[in-house]
Amino acid sequence: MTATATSTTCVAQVEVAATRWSVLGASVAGAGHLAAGLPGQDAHAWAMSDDGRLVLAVADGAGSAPCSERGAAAAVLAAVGAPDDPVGAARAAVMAAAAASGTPPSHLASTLLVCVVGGDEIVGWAVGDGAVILEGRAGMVALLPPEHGEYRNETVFITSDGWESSVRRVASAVDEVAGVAVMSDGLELLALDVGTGTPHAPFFAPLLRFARGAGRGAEDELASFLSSERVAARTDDDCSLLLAVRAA
Amino acid sequence: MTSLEAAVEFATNPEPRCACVLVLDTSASMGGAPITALNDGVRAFAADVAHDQLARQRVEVCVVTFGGTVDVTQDFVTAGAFEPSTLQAGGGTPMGGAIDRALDLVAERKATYRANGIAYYRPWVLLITDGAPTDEWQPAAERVHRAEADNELAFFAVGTEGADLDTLGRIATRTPLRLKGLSFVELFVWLSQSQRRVSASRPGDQTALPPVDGWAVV
Repeated sequence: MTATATSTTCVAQVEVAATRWSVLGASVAGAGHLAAGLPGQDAHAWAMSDDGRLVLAVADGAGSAPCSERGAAAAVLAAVGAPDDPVGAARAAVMAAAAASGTPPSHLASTLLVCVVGGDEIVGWAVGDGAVILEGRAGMVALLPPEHGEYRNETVFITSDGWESSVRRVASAVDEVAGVAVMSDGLELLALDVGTGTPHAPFFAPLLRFARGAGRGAEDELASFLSSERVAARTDDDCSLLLAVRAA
Repeated sequence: MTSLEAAVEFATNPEPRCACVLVLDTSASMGGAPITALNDGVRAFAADVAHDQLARQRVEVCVVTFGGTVDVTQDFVTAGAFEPSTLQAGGGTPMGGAIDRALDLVAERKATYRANGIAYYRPWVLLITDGAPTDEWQPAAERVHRAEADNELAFFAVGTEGADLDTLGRIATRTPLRLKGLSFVELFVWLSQSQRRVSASRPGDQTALPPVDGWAVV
């Protein structure tokens, strides 16, 4: 299983069914977390499965849950190793981590977004908020828009009761897809038209263009962007963005 | 600014809203020092919340007074634009009517949010009184209980020294608190700090509120 690329390397390049994809991502702690002395509670990971599929995962730990950063990390690491049942694997990993440390599972609560890029199909999975966006011939499309409860600060976690009925899975043909963005909900107000859940193209297009031309230090630059004042003025939440672009 | 920062354009979305209804006793017994302290408190709330960049855009304040009559002295306004008017004391204590009005205002506000595609947090209602209701309050109390059970809002009740906390305890599901002396300023700064946390809160936050011992008898 490949770990996430570090900032000193070139952008990771992988092959999915003889097609080259570049992958880069960043998770940054929100200003609100930093101010409260909390760690960032988002996590992201990606890996190539044994059968050559690219698996992308982003998890957003529940706000004030004491160790949700551990839950988010456990979730993404398990998800990228299980392309056919990433949510089940993530939940099992988080529940096991909770049991092993004698912690209530709710302390490790997190959402989960997964995107599996295969030779024929691209499959998205989601529990909770955040979104999976595809760049296709018709422009930007939400494979999975965010899901909130009645209140902005409510969503479902993989540790919630009734999580199973909240799992969303959507598949799409991969040959039309030129780029994928998996984002946590910290970016929702900046990246989506919140009323309709549709992606704001002028947000994603430059990012995917950046990913296509990305060289050494690109993940640093992505992280800087997510930590920038422009972003912080609109959200003080943790932000994660995991990008995969098909080589031209 | 890096080229990436310069190139990425943000969507314009309305800020999610955090409705906060203040239900304030302005009956005759509040005359003198109490109403002065209450007015100071409301101003302190406005000043404190305006300092928070997110909260000033997200928190919406509505003020319902009950002193003789029930009056909506401030319809919902974003906290950054809230300019408290000076409240005067007089009349009886139509608390039941004021609570009813407040609950109606919350429901109407939510409908407005939904009609306009605006995300929102669970609304708060804060009731402050120095006495006991002089009108029928039981139906309003039932509405509060139902609303809390259905997670429609969070209802807090605070009584000053002379207040009938027993009756407040029958109205609110959360234990009513007694104000220390006339520490309205401390109470309202606490309210502002709480609303600032709510307006920045993320899924899963129990929104741990700041301690109340600055203003409440604990």
